[in-house]
Amino acid sequence: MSVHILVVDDSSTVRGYYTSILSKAGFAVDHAANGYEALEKAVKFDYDFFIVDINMPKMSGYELVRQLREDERGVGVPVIIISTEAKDSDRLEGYRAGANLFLVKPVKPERLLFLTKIIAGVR
Amino acid sequence: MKTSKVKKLMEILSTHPEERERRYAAMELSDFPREDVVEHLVNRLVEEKSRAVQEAIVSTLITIGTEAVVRRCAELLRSEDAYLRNSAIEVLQLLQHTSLGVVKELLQDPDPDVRLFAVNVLGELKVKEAVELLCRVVEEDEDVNVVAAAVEYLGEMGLRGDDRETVRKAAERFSDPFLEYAVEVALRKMEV
Repeated sequence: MSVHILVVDDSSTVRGYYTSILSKAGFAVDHAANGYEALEKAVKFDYDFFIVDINMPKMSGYELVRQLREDERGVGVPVIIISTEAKDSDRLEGYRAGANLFLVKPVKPERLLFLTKIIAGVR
Repeated sequence: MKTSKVKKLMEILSTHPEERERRYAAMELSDFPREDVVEHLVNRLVEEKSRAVQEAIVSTLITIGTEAVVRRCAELLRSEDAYLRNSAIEVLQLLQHTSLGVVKELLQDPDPDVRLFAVNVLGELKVKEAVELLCRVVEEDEDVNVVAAAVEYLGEMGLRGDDRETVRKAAERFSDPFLEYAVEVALRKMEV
């Protein structure tokens, strides 16, 4: 069974970029343009993995991850935050919110794929 | 009379224990587009713990819409609080013409995150000058994320031949797969 990933980013180009990399490797990729859409989709579908941006309108990625972690369905689901924010304070807040990994944009395709496979437990 | 009312509203916004009262005070302050009010609203936006009150403050700042609002909100782009940063972007985007001058200054900021926020604001401004500024970012900015964001917005705006050439050249300045992808997508959108 393929791993079902939700990519959450307000940039359609970023969503398309991650989708093109991950779907070629056999992941099933869905997207959301903001935190509210992501939470709605997370209730409807069982995702195995989330890739989340920080700076999005209305709800930040931190807030989204916190809310995902508050729901029992999202407690153990791996989350990678990928952001342009590179400060230590951002990393700290990302990990405090519940992210498993914090990456700084731009992420090379091979690195995204490698880390996604490791965190998703795919060989 | 007016001054005492403003003082009272600012005090309620700062100290009232009821969230609803603070929210109403924030909304009522939109009738007073003064610099001291703007200063107080932005300070409370930073300190306030209730999201509902924060949202009321943001709405009031947008309603006031002065140069002082734009300048104070631009400072919030450096905040460590993502909600404050995103609220600042929202205010700057909605106050299009008032914010253009400040956004231009932000494009020269040494912090690439601040320049990226400036690009995010420019991308939503429906003015010709925004296109010219985004093209300059694509040609001159040294940060790949800032350039990629400008490329994406230019693609969405649907552009002339010269702009297409500017976007095409961006991929040559950096060796980065994400930027190459962004350029490809933008050029495709420009052809439509």
